[in-house]
Amino acid sequence: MATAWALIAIAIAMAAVYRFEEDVTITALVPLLLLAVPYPLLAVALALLARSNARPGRIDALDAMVVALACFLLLWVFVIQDRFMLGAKVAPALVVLPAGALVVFALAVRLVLGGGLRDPAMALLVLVVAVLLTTTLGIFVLGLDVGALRANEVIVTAWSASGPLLGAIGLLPSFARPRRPVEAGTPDLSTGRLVLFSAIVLVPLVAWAYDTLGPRDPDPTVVAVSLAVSAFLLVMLVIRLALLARLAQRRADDLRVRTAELATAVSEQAALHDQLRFQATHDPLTGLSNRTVLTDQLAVWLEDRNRAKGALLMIDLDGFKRINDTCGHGAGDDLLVQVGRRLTAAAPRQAMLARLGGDEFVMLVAGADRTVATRTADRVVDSLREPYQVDGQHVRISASVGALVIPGDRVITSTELLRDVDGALYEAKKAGGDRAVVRELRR
Amino acid sequence: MLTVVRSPLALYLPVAVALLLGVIVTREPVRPLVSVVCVLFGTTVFTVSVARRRPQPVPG
Repeated sequence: MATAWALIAIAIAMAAVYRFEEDVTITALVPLLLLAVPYPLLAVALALLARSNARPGRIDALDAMVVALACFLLLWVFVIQDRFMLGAKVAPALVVLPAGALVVFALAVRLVLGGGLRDPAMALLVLVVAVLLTTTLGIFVLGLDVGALRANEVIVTAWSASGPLLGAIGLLPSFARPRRPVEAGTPDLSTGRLVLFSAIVLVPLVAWAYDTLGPRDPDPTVVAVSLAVSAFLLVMLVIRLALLARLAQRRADDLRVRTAELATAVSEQAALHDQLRFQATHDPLTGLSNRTVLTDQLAVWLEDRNRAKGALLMIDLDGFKRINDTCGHGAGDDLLVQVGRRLTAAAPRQAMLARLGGDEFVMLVAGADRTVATRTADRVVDSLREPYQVDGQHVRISASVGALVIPGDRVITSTELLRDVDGALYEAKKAGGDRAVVRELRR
Repeated sequence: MLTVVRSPLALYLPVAVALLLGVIVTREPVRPLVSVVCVLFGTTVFTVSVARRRPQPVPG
């Protein structure tokens, strides 16, 4: 940064001390080079400042080049080429100053487009550069007319102002305490830039119209220059649009990837939600519904005033503790899983089966009368009596079933119902097990 | 006693404006001299500021 500012100070000082005399002809290369000496210094300084104060990125640099080329084309068509066609031998002048000014101007625009104007010191520096470019080009243009490098009053005053402006930069608070650099990011086509490019697209058209329809006969050499610059400018614009399209494509790709990731995350979350809901409502061992679901379903069924009669079966294995004690809890769990499968197979289609806990199961058969309840209970007892294959051994176990037939018009709570069906199960157990006891709800 | 504290910029600007006015109102042969003084004055102030500049670490 210090190097950049030092180069700027040197450039302005050199510009200040150089004087123009009427006898310095415009065709002399040395005076022109001296006039252009501040340009490389300014160019290097602006490039250094843009690196530290502006947003990094090639697109800003490309845009700056497009703007500079458009300005050069206008300068060429409306100012320079007229003098050229008048016959002045100004070939060195036509190359040195405009080319240098083009580079400096492009770098200044690069600093502006990169967000450099947010720093007051940078904004003032851009003004100083603009003054310097305008005055040197003014001297150049005037020189083309009169054949000598001279400055008029306006130019001298403007040029003199560049010094005090530079001093003011040094005294600005933001100069001593630099602001945070602009954050990196890819510049897109903002509304301002869109308007700018729309105007720039018209520049080659205007140049061509002036060359062909203007007040003078077109000179092939002059027109060739403006056509070449126009073509280059249009190519740059096409490249800019291609970069913009690539940027849009990259963002679309990113969006697509993120959308896919989001969809995957949502899908995983939905699966997790289903898994949690299943775990909350089912017995992890047998996969049957748990006590919570049974209680809820029972309450819903009992609260339905239009419900038909039904039956509630409570199943308890006889001597299950013996299996656990002799064969181990693993074998006991395996047996419970098989019992769950047999109960599922034995249950009517409309039945709801749940494991209350331990070796106790409950089956709610909506719409069942005493006959269906008895047939179901007997089927359950017969089914569970069949031998099981546990840990490579044949295991036999029986079950007791208490069944309660519930009339459709009876008001009763699920707690009372479970208590009553437990009474029927107790009767079956008391009678020796391996049987079903079916009772009607009497209250 | 009344003490007025002025910022360097507040002191600098009147001098710079005065020099610039000098460039506008004077004529040859004084004018080129005033013009050079004007530019060199600003450039000198700027150079001194660059030399004395002690940038603080950029936050963040």
